[in-house]
Amino acid sequence: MSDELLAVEDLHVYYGSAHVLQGIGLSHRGGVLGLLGRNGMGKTTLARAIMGLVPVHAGEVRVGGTAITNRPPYRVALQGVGYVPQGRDIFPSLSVAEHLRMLSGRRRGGGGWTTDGVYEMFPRLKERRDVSAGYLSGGEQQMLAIGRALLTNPKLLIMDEPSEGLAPVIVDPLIEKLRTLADSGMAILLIEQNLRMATAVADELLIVSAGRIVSSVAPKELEGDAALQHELLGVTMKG
Amino acid sequence: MPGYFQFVLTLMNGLTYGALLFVIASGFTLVFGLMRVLNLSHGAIYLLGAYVGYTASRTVSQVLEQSVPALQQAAGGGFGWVLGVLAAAVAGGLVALLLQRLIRNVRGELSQTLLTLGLAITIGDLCLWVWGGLPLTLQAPDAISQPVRIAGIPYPGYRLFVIAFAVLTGICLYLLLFRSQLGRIIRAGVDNREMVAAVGINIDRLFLTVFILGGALTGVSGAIGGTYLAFQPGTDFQILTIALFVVVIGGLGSLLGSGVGALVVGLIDSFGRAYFSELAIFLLSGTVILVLAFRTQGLFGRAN
Repeated sequence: MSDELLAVEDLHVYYGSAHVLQGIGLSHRGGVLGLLGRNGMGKTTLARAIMGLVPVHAGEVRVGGTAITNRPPYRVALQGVGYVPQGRDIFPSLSVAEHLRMLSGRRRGGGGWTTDGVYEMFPRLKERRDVSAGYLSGGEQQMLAIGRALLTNPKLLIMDEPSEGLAPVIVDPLIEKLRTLADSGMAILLIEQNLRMATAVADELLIVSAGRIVSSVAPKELEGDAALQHELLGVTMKG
Repeated sequence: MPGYFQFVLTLMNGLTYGALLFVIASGFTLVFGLMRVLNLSHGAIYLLGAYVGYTASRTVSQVLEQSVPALQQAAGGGFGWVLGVLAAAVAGGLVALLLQRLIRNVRGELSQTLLTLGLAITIGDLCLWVWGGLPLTLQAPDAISQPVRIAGIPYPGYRLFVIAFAVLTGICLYLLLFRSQLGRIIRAGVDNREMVAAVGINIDRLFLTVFILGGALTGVSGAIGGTYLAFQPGTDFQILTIALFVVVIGGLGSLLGSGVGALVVGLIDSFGRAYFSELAIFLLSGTVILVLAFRTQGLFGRAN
């Protein structure tokens, strides 16, 4: 159990009277765990609940064995969870360099991510370092959001729909980057609707429906099986 | 010649008032940008700063007068005044600390805003109880009160000091916001509070820092403003209204906006009083209405 990075047990979250998460549970022990599901099934809510951004009504979230249920978001982050939110949520008033400087020198433990490391991973960010982040393209904003999360030196990276709104020509290099990151040992919880991204990056896929995990499939299995895709997600991979 | 005299004097008065308003409004706009709460006790903190500064500077001056008169004379009343300003900063900071502790337990921006209004009324009443209803001013130190000739016209040195102080405050705030780590975090927090928390920054502590900073600055502006503008019960809501005018014109949450807004309001107020005294209030509110009609977010505000 000691190598369990993230554990979610019987989690319940309500938005007003809407019961969004209905006893969802999962265990993440490294690698890339993918969460697939249609819109409105509670994937983003799960990410936000783990981060402490929405109140949890029942259940437990543990990071590295420590219960963090309903802790303030900064505690969750300091516990080693990096967050790349849906929509990226970069800070438009800050330049690229300021995003990274804002977090440099804050890290505890020698996790090792530095501004230079981020620039090395995303050379484009270095070219655009003095640009106000509000003027970045969607792909660049995504790189910045990932770089920002990495600078918190996470043990686990939660990425919520990194491919959202990006053109396929930008998604492909992003897939490469995420694989490189995963191969270097970074554990990732990848929330996706883009089947191609999810099957290309994840080691294991969990299917979310109506606030629960309904099944678990191997990416290879889902990739080649249009009927299964349709059954689980109501969509099929194009091309 | 009297025409020229009046013009220069009116211009200088407008600039001085604008300078003071900038200091007042910058704390206001900083807190709003981050917390999304209009601090309606802002004027009350100004007034409390003025009263505390008054009492502290008088007390210190009197004590010095009796114990070390030579020192008191050498400093020309400066010691008492400087300590008065510092005491005003502490008072403003403490009220802000109290306000932040209270506001933390209240959910919803409307409820939080109402809480600040309640605090404003409470502070106003406490001030009336302690200091009574007569208009007061702090005694400016001799060293900065000597008249200075501006374009051939003698102008009170203290008012020039107010302008210098505002410029210095503006520079310090600029450096803080745009050149320091705290500033980067504050600006990020203005953009998106959730994300600042999600990268491991204790947002409550950030709010507290900014609140105390804003409160201290407002307290100081009370003591500095109260040295040349008489203050009394009611000044709190006058200052709040005028600070609102400034940030509506300049744009809430923008430092540059509060600078420009403060100058606009200061000059309109000064020229309005001097040349169109019947229209002075109308000119000011008319400007606010025009800005709201054509540029809701203010001159330098961001559209949401």
